[in-house]
Amino acid sequence: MTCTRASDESLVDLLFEGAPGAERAHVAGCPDCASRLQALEASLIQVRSAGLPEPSPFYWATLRRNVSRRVGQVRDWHWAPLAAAAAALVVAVGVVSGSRMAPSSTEPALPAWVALPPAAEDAGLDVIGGLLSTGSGQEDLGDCNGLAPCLGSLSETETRALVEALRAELKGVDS
Amino acid sequence: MSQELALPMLFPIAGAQAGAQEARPGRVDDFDDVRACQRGDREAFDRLVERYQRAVYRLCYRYVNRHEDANDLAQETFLKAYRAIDRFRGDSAFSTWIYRIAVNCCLNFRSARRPETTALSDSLSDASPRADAEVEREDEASRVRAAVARLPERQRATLILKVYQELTHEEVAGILGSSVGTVKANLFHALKNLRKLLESEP
Repeated sequence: MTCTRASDESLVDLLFEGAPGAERAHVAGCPDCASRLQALEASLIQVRSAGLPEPSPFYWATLRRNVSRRVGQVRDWHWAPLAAAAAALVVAVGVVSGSRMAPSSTEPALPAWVALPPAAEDAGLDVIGGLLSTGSGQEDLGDCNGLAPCLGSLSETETRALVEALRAELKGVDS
Repeated sequence: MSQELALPMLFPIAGAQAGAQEARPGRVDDFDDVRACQRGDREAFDRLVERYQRAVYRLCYRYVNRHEDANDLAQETFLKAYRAIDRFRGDSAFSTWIYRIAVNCCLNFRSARRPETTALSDSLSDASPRADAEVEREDEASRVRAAVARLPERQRATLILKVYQELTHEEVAGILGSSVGTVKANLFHALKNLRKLLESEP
């Protein structure tokens, strides 16, 4: 009958890291357990003696270079989503602001110069109102929903005539 | 181990002892380099690669027994380590952490591909003429490596980490996510099965 008093684990302990004195003493005096330990030891010696072929001395530099290259790709890859998100943001902002800047189809486009001064603070609007009322009649202005839309609805000829009238009025003020 | 040291250098052998020494660099250096790497210092990661490349490559080689696959696995290990370096908090040694990644790479590799137990590429070996005793020794080493590569996954990983990387039972248990008792049991069965494999293929 084979003695199994020394457990598999305790034989491994004896082989690698030592074992309690009682276990060691038992194995030393027990042919069965000593034989089991010897079999393990023979295997371990074979395993330990099986070295590896050493790669070319240049291999390690190649390995490092390949790792470095692939790590660099990882870094690029990390930035890629951010770059894509930034590009998407730019496009989104452009689309939104473009849609806000685009003239509404229901409102007439205004000449750039009428948008500059706030209407409430622009004393010149009173002058323009006076000119329109004398030139085109008050009822014409009444058709417009406010002065600014009314100015925007002027034809090019009317706009030019208005500009000339303003210039003449300003010359009169300067002189 | 003394048998390895007594070998002539006609055919250079990467001994377990040498590999283990390379695999156990100073923890302070590792810690500093990991922290630097986490701050974006690429050169710090290069230093970690240089320090661990041999140990990781050899661990992988022992597992798959093929240079080309070991090369792929070693690169994969470092790549995964780089991607996860921000999550390394230093709860274990960096060596334990990188070995765990390497073992996981090997386990995944084995599950995805058939085991390779083919002979080593001739291009790896020294081209100079070798003595008969040396050829015989290398043939025996090749036979043992092939047998190790045929062990069940856990037994193989345990044997490689314990014998070739010279880790403690506790370190092996930490890497494999098992108990010390399981590590000892796997070691026992690995050595026992190895003996059977070698005896069945003289």
